[in-house]
Amino acid sequence: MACKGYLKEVTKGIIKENPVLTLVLGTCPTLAVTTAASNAIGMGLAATIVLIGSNAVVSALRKIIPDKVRIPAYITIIATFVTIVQMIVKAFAPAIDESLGIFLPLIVVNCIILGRAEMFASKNPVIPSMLDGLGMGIGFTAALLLMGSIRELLGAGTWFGMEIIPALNIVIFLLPPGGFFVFGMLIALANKLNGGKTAKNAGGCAACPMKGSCTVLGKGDKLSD
Amino acid sequence: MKIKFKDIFVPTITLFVICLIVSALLAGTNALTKDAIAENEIKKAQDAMFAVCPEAASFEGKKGLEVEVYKALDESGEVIGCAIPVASKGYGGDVSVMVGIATQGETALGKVTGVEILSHSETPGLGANAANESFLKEYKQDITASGFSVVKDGTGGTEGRIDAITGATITSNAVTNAVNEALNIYSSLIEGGVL
Amino acid sequence: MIKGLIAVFLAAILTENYVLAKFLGICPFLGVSKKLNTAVGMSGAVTFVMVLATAVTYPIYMYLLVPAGLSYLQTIVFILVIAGLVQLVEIVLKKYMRVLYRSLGIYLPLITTNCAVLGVTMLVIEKSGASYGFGHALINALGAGIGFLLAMVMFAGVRSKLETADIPKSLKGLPITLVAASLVSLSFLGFAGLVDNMLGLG
Repeated sequence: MACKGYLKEVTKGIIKENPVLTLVLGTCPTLAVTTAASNAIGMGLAATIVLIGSNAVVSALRKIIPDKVRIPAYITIIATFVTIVQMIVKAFAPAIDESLGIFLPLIVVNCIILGRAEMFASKNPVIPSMLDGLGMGIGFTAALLLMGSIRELLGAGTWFGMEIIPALNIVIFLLPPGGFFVFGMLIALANKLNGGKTAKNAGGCAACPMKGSCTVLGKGDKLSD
Repeated sequence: MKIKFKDIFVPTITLFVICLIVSALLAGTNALTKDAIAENEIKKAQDAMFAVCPEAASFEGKKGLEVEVYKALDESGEVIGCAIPVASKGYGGDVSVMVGIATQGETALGKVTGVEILSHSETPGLGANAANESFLKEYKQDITASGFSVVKDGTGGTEGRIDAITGATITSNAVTNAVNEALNIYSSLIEGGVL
Repeated sequence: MIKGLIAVFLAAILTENYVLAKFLGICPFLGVSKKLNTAVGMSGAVTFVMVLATAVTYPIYMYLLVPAGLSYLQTIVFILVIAGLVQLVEIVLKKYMRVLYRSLGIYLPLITTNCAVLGVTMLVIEKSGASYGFGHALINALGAGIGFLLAMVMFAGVRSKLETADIPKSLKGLPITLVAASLVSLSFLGFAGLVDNMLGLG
């Protein structure tokens, strides 16, 4: 039975609680690095490693870290993993480092990672937390890959650099407006498939990891849809 | 107001210990990866130098100059040209390129043997196409007195003319400006008797 | 010199707009742009923290981390400095500037995880060089903040029109907001090359 429970921790992140398409977290890298499918894989893998690592450490230290300083402590832990991943990528996969650029260190402020630390890892044991990280990471990678594939195919007629439809060359899909547009269409699709759940909890604030300490929401200002 | 010892010191000490452990971890990873990172950078620059000066057998850094220049040597150690890294402002930021120049050309001014993009942050699908061989090969021609200029009529490839990349005139200009900058450095080196 | 600074300033606002061209700070762009006054408040707080953070992190990196061979600590030091600064600004505003605190204070906790702030401090380090010093870095941070403000205000205007529009059910909410963002960013593409040509630098 335990096995089934563990599997659930992994799979929930892929579809039901997909961090990008359902919770709408981590929008910056989702829009910025998805000009090619290969970038999406690089970004997704790097974020998955950080997610598993930070979830594991946050969960292991959940009884030691005082509540008052938990956010700085989480940020320190996340930043450590990001820096380690950054150094390893620079040393052994310089091409990925070049294509992701500043978005590799910016994984630190990816809401998905702080969000999972605050919402899941700080309340659950190590193994489920790591599995949650793995599931969320896979969900993030899958959403990035979907975005990257659509944009690369329509914008350059290629997929992972291979020529698929040479006639397709709609450059606008590689530019920022194309990014916003494809993302909007994918969320509309996810919306349609899960019966309008996305629209309710999306929009930045409601799913934001800082919402507990956020006074904007506390004041009763309705900011998101 | 009584300050509770536990409320102030326990969080501080916990954070401090976390920071100590983190610093140790990072220093360790840095020690393990820094050689590989440095090697990657050197290898990348060297690969670019050999790509732009295909005839060269080895390179020699030129120290004591205001600019960075690498002399290209053939197997017998004769100077056959040079590789010059230069940068110019493109659409999304600096475009840095490596320019290879051979002293032997059909004209007395020498010949560009190759141009490679070292780094850029141009728009994918438009300016980023500057890294394609089909664009960069246009620079492989004899140097004219007026340097290179960008044209839009499809006559590029000869007499210093370079065809602009479709939809990316700024990037085309940036690469061309960088190459012209390298030509200026090259001619001042020739005049100074350094090469 | 002055021309160079103006070019950096205008480029940060228009052609290199952090939200619409670099995709930094999308969360607050989508989350806090529904009403004009919250959009302006958030942008003001972001601009303030961006300039302050750059003023602190740039010297730390150049004169502390680089000489000590610790440049690999950049990410962790920067994010902790930003988190600390945000806390400090909040405390100072609360105690001494009640008026400013009332208008900006409530947005401060959200800024630590705003990737535009960390992005600005890191990008100016990447750009720094002989012709790009501390002054350029500060001007760039200011421009980035104003660019953020411009994008937020424009977008708040667009969104207020969306309120009354008849939108297909699946597109309601976030999807149509993203499509609107797509159109706003399309308009910013028109600034390509404008800054350099205007100042005769191109």
